[in-house]
Amino acid sequence: MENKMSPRRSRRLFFFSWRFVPVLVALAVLFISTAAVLSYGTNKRGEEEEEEHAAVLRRFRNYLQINTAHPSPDYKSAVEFLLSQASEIGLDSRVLEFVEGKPLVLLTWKGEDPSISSILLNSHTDVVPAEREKWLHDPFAAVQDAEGNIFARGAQDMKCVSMQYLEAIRNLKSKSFQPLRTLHLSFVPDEELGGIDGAGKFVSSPEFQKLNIGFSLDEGIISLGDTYKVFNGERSPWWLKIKATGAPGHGSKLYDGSALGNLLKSLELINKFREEQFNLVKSGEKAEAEVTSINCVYLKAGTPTPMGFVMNLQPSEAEAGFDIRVAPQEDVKELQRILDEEWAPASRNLTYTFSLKENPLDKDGQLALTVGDDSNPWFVLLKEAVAKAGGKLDKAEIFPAVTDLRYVRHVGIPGFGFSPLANTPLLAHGHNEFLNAGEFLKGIGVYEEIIKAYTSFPPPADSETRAEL
Amino acid sequence: MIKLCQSFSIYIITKSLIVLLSAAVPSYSSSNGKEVEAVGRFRDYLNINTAHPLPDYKPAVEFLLAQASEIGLDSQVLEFVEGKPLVLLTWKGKDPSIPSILLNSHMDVVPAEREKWLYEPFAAVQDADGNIFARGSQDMKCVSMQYLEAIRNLKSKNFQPLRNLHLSFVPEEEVGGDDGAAKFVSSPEFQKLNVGFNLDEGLASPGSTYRVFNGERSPWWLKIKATGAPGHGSKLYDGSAFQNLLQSIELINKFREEQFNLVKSGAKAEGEVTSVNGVYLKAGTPTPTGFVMNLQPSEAEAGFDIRVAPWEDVNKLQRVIHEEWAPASRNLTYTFSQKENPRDKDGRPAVTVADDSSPWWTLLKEAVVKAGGELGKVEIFPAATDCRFVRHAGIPGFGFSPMANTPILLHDHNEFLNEREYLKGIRVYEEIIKAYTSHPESGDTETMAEL
Repeated sequence: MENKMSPRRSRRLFFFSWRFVPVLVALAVLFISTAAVLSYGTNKRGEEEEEEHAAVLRRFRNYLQINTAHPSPDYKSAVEFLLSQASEIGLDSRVLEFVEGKPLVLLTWKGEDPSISSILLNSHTDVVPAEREKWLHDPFAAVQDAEGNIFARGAQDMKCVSMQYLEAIRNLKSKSFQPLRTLHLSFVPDEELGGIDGAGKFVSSPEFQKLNIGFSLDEGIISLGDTYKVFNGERSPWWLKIKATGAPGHGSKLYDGSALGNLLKSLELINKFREEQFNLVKSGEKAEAEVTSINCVYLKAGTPTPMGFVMNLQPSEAEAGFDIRVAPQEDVKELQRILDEEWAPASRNLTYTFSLKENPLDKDGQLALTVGDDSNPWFVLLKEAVAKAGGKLDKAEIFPAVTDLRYVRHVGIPGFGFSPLANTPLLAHGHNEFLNAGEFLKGIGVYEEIIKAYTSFPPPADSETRAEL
Repeated sequence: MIKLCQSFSIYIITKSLIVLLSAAVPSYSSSNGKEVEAVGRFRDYLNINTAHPLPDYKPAVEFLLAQASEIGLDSQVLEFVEGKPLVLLTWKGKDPSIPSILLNSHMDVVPAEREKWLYEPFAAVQDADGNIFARGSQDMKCVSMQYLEAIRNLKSKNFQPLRNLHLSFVPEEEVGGDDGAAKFVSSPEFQKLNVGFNLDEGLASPGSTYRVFNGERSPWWLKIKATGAPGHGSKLYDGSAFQNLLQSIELINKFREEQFNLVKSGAKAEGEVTSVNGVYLKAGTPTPTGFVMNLQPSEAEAGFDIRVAPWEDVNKLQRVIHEEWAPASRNLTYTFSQKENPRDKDGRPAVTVADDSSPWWTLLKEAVVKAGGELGKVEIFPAATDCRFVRHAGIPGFGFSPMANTPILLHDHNEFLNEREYLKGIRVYEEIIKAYTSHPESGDTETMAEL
């Protein structure tokens, strides 16, 4: 038999011969042990991560469980909780109380250069009430279901943001990040009632002056889609009450000039204005927050009886109330004229009052708007930070209602309304308000990037832009 | 000289006595003693406070029974609802088989706001011009007493009625009459009376002619309620409760304007159109200081006082309410807290014939003239009286109160009636009662059915 083979063939034969077995065994052992070590490492890291996340969520849920709902918010417990967080994280803390019973927590992370204007992250501690019988779970139990949805009043508005701020700082500190600018966090009371005794008092205080705020962030609105919303202005609330008077009369009598007749004329004119504004939105010409909205909130006329109302008497007075939101670019003088001459003219026996009338202009007579496009470095930084964290930022919009940010804008300090919450239906003030744990955790990452970017942003060389920033 | 002085002294003394005596009585004095007594009895009745919400009927009943006793009338007290008595007086006629005449009036009055009156509303103060100020002086204790005074006078003149004459003094008219005239008319006692014709209240007339009414507008008290999604005050959306309600109010107002224009143009009298007037609005969440201002409510209500003209197409009106004013498709519901039928029990408009084809009409006209007055054009009463219960039962009747040259002040402040008008009205009723109770039964069966 001939034993002559090619070298290739003899190599191939080796792999099939019994001499390869120990090599195979050795390789197998190596592979298995490496895999074991690797997976153990990953598991451990995964377990650690899970534990961390669990702790983060636990802290969030603890905050949600403090009942800070109106009319009797437990501010004391909220303050204690926030101070303990500050202590754990390592932030300077103060409690300010401009109105008795309505405390404000101010936390500070000193920057390397405290001479530069600082960054303010604001959030409110109070929440609106919740009707227990209309919820699946106790609104203050912060129940987390199998899908990771956390149900609680404040889950979207806005205890999530408060905790996301703190968790982001916790993370940044653990990564040894050092801010250039000083970072302040204000946790204010009273926002859901209009903020007069909370952010209002704070912003007009000497303590606020001393902070030398250069830019502020406050709440935005949760997004149903996957992009985050950002707001660079608000509509100003004007809460209008109109009252018509007229001769009273027997229910059977036809005559002109009754109070109800006078009021109805006003209602029709107001409705016509409303329809014109609403049609601009329906046609797509304007966004909702770019038009001035006016909606009726109450009607009052007639003589009450134990069973209802007197049915054979035309009343001598009739009232209606309206929630008006004035768009930033609205011609306010013209609106006031329409009110005086058409909606509530004295000539038709009407009078009116405002129970609230916010100014769309700031203290310098400028529109209380922050530039919301790429010409503003703060906007660019925000966009980039969101992208770095794996998210996407929508175009800047006008906030359809009001937040505490208006107090800050009114004193000439710029800011954005922003909440890194997406893929969730808007349930703020509604029943079964919830936020998914995953969304919450993702938002923390977004704030880490934002805080890094904002607190690192150096002031520009020239003094003019410096003043702006 | 002394004689002159003596007669002059006597003259002075007599004059002084007259002056002194006059000072003791009101400066306005009636022409004769009987009339003074009549006015006194009127004022006595006015003094009894029968105002809602808690009218004291007992003294009113006692007073009326005392009158009946004095005058010589049979009397009964019926009480269909406890605490709400009804007085029924009867003057038997020579032929009790003929349908009787019923003179109705109510004992209760609406409240009065003392601080808005010149005088105490139940003091029946009479001023220098002879005006008697009291709640009920027009609506309608004057008529009650004029009925009684007229009978008193006729009896003193030995008049004898052919037909039975009944007088009913009912409670609760001012609150809808359900526990008063309504219960009475549907009772067996009323059946037994075999009423052929009825008189009840009319209205004061600022002019010189007396007003007379042969029908009424039926009250439909409508409450509509709109619902819709609640929402934040800043949010624009369609289908809110307020939007739904406003649309209804606009449609109702359009109807109202059409009706009102018919009156303004003179095409129809006020009582001939169906009126709709708003009486209340209710929407919003109250707070201690007012209302919540940033929440669009999920409900909004409005109430309307509708008066349906007798000839109104009721089915059409009902359809308009159901399909246009308060359609379910626009999330509206509605209820009636009162819904009188403009038709009588036989489905005919509850209107009494008021032209010369009707003897009751001609007799009334002639009686008024005989008493020195003048009857105006017949009208539809713009609101509601107890006459409607009788008309619904198919019995004809007029609304009539002999008050001329008098401003309309029923339910108002400083309601008054002048003594002269009051006394003249008694004479008018004397003529009417004479004519009506003497009217023989007609021969043919058709008019018999009417009578």
